[in-house]
Order: sequence, then structure tokens, then C-alpha cells
Amino acid sequence: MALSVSVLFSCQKESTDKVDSYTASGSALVVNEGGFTKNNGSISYISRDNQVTNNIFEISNNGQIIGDVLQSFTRVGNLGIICVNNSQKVTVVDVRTFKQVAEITNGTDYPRYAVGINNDKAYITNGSGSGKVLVLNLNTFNIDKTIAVGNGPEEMFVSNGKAFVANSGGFGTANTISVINTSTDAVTTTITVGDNPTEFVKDAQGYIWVLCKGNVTYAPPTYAPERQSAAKLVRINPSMNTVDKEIEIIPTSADFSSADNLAASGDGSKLYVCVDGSVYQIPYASTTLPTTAFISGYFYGLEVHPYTGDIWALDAGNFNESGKVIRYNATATVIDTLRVGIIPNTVYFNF
Amino acid sequence: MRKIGPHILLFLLLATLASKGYSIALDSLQQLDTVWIVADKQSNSLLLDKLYSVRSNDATIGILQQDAGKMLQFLFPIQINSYGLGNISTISVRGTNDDHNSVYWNGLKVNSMTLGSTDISLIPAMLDGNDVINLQKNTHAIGGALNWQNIPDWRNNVKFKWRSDFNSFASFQNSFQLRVGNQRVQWHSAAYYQTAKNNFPYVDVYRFNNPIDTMEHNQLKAGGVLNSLFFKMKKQQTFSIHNWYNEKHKEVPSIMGTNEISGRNQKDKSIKTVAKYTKIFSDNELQISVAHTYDYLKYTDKRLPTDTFLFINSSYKTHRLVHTLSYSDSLKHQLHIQTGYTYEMDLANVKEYTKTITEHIGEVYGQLSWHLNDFNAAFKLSQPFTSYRYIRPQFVIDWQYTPKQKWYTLALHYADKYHFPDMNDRYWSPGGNPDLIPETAWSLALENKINVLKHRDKFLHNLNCNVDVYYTKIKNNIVWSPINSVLWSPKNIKVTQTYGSDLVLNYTLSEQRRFQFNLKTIYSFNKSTIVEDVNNEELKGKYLRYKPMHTFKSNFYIEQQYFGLGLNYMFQSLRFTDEENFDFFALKPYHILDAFITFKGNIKQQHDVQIIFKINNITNVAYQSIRSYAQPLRNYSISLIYNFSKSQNSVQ
Repeated sequence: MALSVSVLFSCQKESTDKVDSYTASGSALVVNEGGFTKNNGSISYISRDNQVTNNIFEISNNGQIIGDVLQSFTRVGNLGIICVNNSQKVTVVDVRTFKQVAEITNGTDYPRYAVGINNDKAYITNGSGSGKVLVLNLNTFNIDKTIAVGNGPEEMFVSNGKAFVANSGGFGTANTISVINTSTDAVTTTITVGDNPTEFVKDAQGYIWVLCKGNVTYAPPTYAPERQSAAKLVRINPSMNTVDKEIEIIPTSADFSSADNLAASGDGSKLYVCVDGSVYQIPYASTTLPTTAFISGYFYGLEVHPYTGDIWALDAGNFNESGKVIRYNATATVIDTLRVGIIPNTVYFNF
Repeated sequence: MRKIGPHILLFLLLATLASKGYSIALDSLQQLDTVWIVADKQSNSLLLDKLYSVRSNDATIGILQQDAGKMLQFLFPIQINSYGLGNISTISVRGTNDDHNSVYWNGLKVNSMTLGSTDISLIPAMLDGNDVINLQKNTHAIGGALNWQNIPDWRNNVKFKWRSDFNSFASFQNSFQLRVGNQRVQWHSAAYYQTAKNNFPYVDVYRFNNPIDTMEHNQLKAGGVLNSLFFKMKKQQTFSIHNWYNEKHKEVPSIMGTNEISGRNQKDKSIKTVAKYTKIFSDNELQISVAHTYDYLKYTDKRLPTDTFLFINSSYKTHRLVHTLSYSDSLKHQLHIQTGYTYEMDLANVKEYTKTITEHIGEVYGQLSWHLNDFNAAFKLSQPFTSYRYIRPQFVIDWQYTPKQKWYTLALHYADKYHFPDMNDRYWSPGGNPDLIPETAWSLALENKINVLKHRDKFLHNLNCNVDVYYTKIKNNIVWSPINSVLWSPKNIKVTQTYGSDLVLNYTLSEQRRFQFNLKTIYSFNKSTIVEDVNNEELKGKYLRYKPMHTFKSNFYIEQQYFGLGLNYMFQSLRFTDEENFDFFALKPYHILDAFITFKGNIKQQHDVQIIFKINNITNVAYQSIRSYAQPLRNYSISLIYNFSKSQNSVQ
């Protein structure tokens, strides 16, 4: 095993040189959170020929450090929106050069995720308690408006003029999806789903699936995690704004285990979710979680390449050292392993 | 950078060998006894244990006394890691971790029972009279130990000192010290009170274009009282009791790069008491001591100042009770034996533990030392008894050569020690690991000391030079790492080594009370690396976090009768902040220069007044001691000091 890992690593090409453009088709950007209070979040660039360039923001901005706890990266046209959670700021870069073009600090006390609405505006979720969606003007880089949503808003999904916002509860609890009309920037309805909704994907039939992680408490005296409600995948009909199906993935009665990282294949026929770190593959028409893991391990992040179908599993290791992108093909066989930055959490694919 | 180290070590080894030749050139100078022993049986120190010793009358102490961390930084070849002005500071000796080092106050270990390290910012740097700070190799601490010792002056005397410090950023400190006594009873009392806004400007290197920001939520209030009472009784008996109370309330600021004001606060409170009894017989000595420490720490975090609930609300209450007995005897054939035991009860009431923890720790030890002509040798064996039932004696072997003129000392030191996991490692819930084994270490050091004292044309020349070379290997280092999506747990997973050299040069030229020139220079070379990490083979050979390879510190002071002028300079080379040694995340080398001027006045030989004006960080360098934590740019301080002293009837 050790030999095979070393052989796989030996294929990796690392570079500290500046790349001409970070938007080449077939390349990818890996978001590395970095350690809490360590100010070592970063973004790694993986070229189509597997050459890894770490710290591309720092390389492109004269060594300027991007910040503390890099939560997410979103591309809108030629702009990249980076939510730097514990630095309480949103950094906007030109994705071709990764040079910073703006830094937003007004109202960004707990930025989480961004989504592009059009070339003129983007939404950013913000807040660990009472939540809001910040409407970022992509021409002036001002926050033009704030939209009150549920507590602890996390990821968003845009479909047919609507933005679905997962209200996770933040440091508290919540179980709703706020639906925003992207023309008026107003919440039009709220959908009740499972506890602690966080992530969305779209399946082959156009339904939206949301991962509801369930509530977990850390009660004294032991502060050991205790599951209070089930983790489940909830299907939303985006036209009707209704819930029409659920797949329970961890029952309330189960010993504690975690549900994270929802992803879908490019054609939407398969859903993937991490349960206690291991990857489970679920056909979109299924009603239950498979009994065995598709890929065993502990992964902090998970993405599926929309064209190749390769599974990019993100290993944060001991959370202090550089993480790994372990790539599997569609049959769960390891293709290669690439070293990236500290605590990789998501991948953005360039097409 | 990695190729320079061996060359420097080789040079220092050659310097060690060459020093024998150097002795010929210095034979014409008058030499002084370099061995100045501070009796401190409670910390079980060896005769040869002391590395460096600084008396309270050292010029550096007088100038830097309002900042304990900075003062220690310039006095000793140690590294101080600081989380910013007024915040937590810890020490590292010879490249070791902060919990591998101990701090003693009058023989009582003051390290945190839960974390293992010592927050230097909680220690009031008030020394006077015969007080002394030693840096010791120490039998128990893998790195080393600092020992603060209050020592009486058995004369009829009255001494009073008032000091007021006015610093930038609305920082004020007032302190007084009173010493009064006679040949039988001595009383030392000291108190201080400090308030500070610490709203200093700093360069925020984690924000775009590196703007100058102002530190917020960084206020500090601290105060303390220290008392020592010494009794000299009949038949060579002495009794002393020491008490120290201090309290610190601190706002904990946000890290750099963050725009919001922090909602974190920390409150520390501590009461420490030590009582010692010593009886000296004709050829032997008995010492008994009892000590108690109560430490309280409360840390709260609202996460965001606008939040109404506490994200973290943690409190620690710990008690430590220590009883020691030591007996030493001079035998035939220049042999000296010392033996004793220590019993310690540690009690911790910590919110994050599942129950109140009570630990009983016993230790027996024996030491045999031998003196023959120019040679001293010592062997010490000690065995702690804890809930670990870890039967493995710790031992130290020291050998020392000092020629009769005593201007030069060559010492060789070998030690085998271990460090038990700290309470948080074992009992933190969730994640604490009761199965951890102690971190073990062996170390070898070669030390050269040169001390020359000479009178010439009314001037007194005093030169002290130390060249030390050391190697330490530590096995089973404890590291916290994740075991699942939410739980972290400590494991013994690492082997590290540290080697290097310290060069310490102290030269003083003085003429009675009219003139003084002092130059203290410390250069430290250190290479601390990972030898093995069972979780990641690629870390082999990587540098440990926050260990600079090169440190240079120099303190220069020249004083005419009424006027003085001085500089402090410090250089630290690059420090990696992660164990994979990413350049992007390394802290860059930096130079810091401070300057100060002093004015002195004297009335009737009893009243001294001194004014110190100091400019810190003259060149406005933006630097970090710990990554993400801001340090102040240029700042100023004025200190007003009044001394009253009346002494007579020396009975030394």
C-alpha cells in the first residue's frame, strides 16, 4: 500500500511558477480551508496534465496571504468570489490571473458561500446565527442589498429564476430552505426539510436534492456527540417548491456518525454522500442508502467530475499538513493522488 | 540555510578546544570565582545544574522590568513566543516545546497543571536586592527551567522602591517594593497594578495592501501582591514563607486579517504559597518545604460580539499541594550526598473533564557528587511514582573541570528524562487519551564558561563568556490529531531532535558609581527537526514549527554618573509555522531595535531617582512572534523610579 501510494505521488508535478491562466478547460481549482486562526487558507490549481500549483492567490498577489478559513470559491464570468470565513471578508479575483480586484468587508461577518445570479450580481450567504443573503454588485463590488433568510445559511442553488438557500441553523438549529426570487431579491417562500440542511445537487430529472445532516448535540459532562435527529437526503420539486421524497441516511437511533459532502454525477443519475467519512453511491431513483460504502475512508470533501465521472475525494489528513486529492474512476479504483493545500474542502472544475 | 548549521557547530566545537589555548593569554588577569551557588533544594537542583544566573542589579532587569517576557528574552538564550502585547507568552529552551520547560518561583513549579506550559505574561517581573533568576538544566524539564528566587539580605536595612511606567497605548503600571528587616527577620513585600488599552497600530499583513489597523478588544487589567518573610533562628535554622497573589483580566483580540471585533475574554487568578525550613548541621543540611498553588482560569468566547450566547465558556480550577524533604551530607573523600523525596497532589476541576481529577505524584531521589582538585562530578537518580507506574529512573551525569584560578569551566552533561502527558492530554473530554505514554528524552551538552575580573586604573573589567553545544532527542512526542469527523485525540507519534549552540558574552566595565558600560550579546544556533512521524514519512527532516535557526540578541548600556544610554537589538531568522515547511506560511526574519536613555539623581546617598525614556521598535518593523497575532509598531515608554535605601551592620 505504502509503495503504491509513493508511486502515485511520484506522478505529481508541482510548480510554484505563475500560470498564464487559471481557467484552462479541463483544469480544476481546489479550495483549501487552512487551519483555524492559522491564516493559511489557499487555492491550488490542477492543470489538465495534473501539474499542481499551490497558493495561486499568493503567487499572483506578491505573496499576499488570502486569509483564515477559506470557505468557498465561486466563479461568475471572469470573476472569482472567495469567501474567507474567519477573516470575515469576501475577496474577488480575476479568475484568469487570480489577481485581487476587490475585497468586501461590509456586512461579511460570517461569509459562507456565493452563487452567481447573472454577470451583474451574486448572492453570498452570511451568518452563524440570524442569516442573510448579501446581494453583491459585481460592477461596483458593493453590497447593494441584504435579504433576511433563516439561521446559519449555507449553500445555495439557482434554478429558473429562484435561489434556494439552505438554512442550517448555524450554531443553533434550523430545517428550512428559503426561496428567493432572483429578479426582485425577495424571499417568496420557505420550504421545511430535514434538520440542518447544507448542500444541494440536481438529479437527472431536474429535482433538487438537499443534504440534511440532522442535529447533533455535545452535551455535558462528556461532550461526546449525540445524534438528535436523522440525517437524510430530501428531494425538492423546484417548480412546486415542495418536498416529494426523502432518503434516510442516518437514523436518529444510530450511534453518532456524520453525513457530509453531497455530490452528483454529471448526468445526475447518481448521488454521492459521505457517511462517517466514507463515500456512498446512491442511484437517483433509490429510496435507501446502500449498506456498503462505495469508497471507504475519511474524506473531508467530495466532488464528481461532470464529464469524466471521476470521483475527487479530498483527504484533510491530520488537518495540520497538506491535504490530498485522491481521484477514483467510476468503479472506485484509485487513479492518482495529488498533494494540495491544508484542509481541502471543495473543487471547482473549469470547462 | 540548511548547510550552514554543521559549519557553525564545527566552529563552536573548535572554539571549545581552542579555549584551552586562550587561557594562556588571560593568565595575567585577575580571576574571580565563577561558581555562585544558589541553594534551592526544593527544585532538586544539582550543584552543576545552573546554566546562567542573573542578579537583580543587572542593568537589563532595571530597564526591561515592566515586561517579563522581553526581559527574559534579553537575559538568557531562550526563545519567547508571544501572542501579542499583554497576551500569553511562553518560553522555549534549546528548541524544545513550551511544555518541556518549567518555571519555578522560590522552588515551586508554576507551570499550568492542565496545559503544562507557563504563561510568562502572568509573572510580575519585580526583582530587587539579592534576588536572582537562574536558567537551569533541571532534572525534570526536558528543555530547561527558569527559577526566580527571592533571597534575603541579612542586614539591618530599609529599602523602598516605587516605579511608575507610562507606555504608549494607554498602558500604565505602578509598582512598589518594600524590604525591611534585621539580622533575624526580613520582610519583602511587592505589589503592582497595571491597566492598558493596548490599542496599538499594526500592519495587517493578512489584508490586501497591508493597511495599518488599530488593535481593538485588547484591554488588560492586572494586579498582584508578593510577600516573603524570612526568619533566621538559633542553631543555624532558617524559616521562610512566600505568598504570591495575582489576577489578570484580559480581552483577547481577533487575529490579523479579521474585520470584526473579538468577543473573547480571559480571566486568570492565582494564589501561591511556599513555606521552607532549613537546618544546617556541621556537615549536613536538612530542608523541608510545603507549598500550595491555586490557579483559576476562565475563558469565554461569544464568537461574534453581537452574539448573545457564549460559544465557549470554559473554566479551570486547579490546586497543587507539594511537600518536599531533602537531606544532604558531606562524606569522606570529598564526597557529598543528597537525598530526599517529593510528594505532590494535583487536583483539577475543569469543565471539559468528565470528573474532578486527583493525581498523587511521589518521587524519591539521590545525588552523589564528588570534588577532587579541579574536578567536580555529580550523578543524580530520581524515580517518580504516578498513576502511570512508569518505573524508569531519570538520571543526570555531570562532569566539570575548573582550574584553581577558577576563570574557566568546562562541563559535560548527560541527562535522561521524561515528560508525563499533561492533564488536558489525558482527561480532555471528548478526545483525551489515558493510554498515552510519557515523552522520553536524552540530551548531551558541552559547556564552556569563561569569567574574568580585573581592576585596572580604577576600572573594574568583568567578562563572562559561555559557549555551549547541545543535542537532545525526544521520543514519543504527543500530537493531537483527528480520529473522526469531530473528535481529536492526542497520540505518541513523533520523534524529534534538536541540536545547536548558544554563545553568550557579557562584558561590564565600571568605575564605582560614576561609570558603567555593559554589553550583553547572545547568539543562538538551533536546528530542531522531525526525525520520525508515524503518520507521515514525508515530514522526516522538516523543521519544527516556530524554531528559528539563528537568533541574535544584544543589549548595550553605557552610563555616566547621571546619564545613561542604551540599545536592545534582536534578530530572529525565518520560522516555519507548519511542519511541512511551506515558505508561504513561514514568518520572515526580522530585526527589532529599541533605544533608551536614563537620568539618575541621588540625595544624601539614600534617595535615588531614575527616569527611563524608551523607544521600542525604532525602525517600525511589522513582525509576528506567532503567526496571525499582531505586534506593535514603534512605541514609547517613560518610567519613573524612586529608591530609598538604608543599610548597616553587614553580617554576611
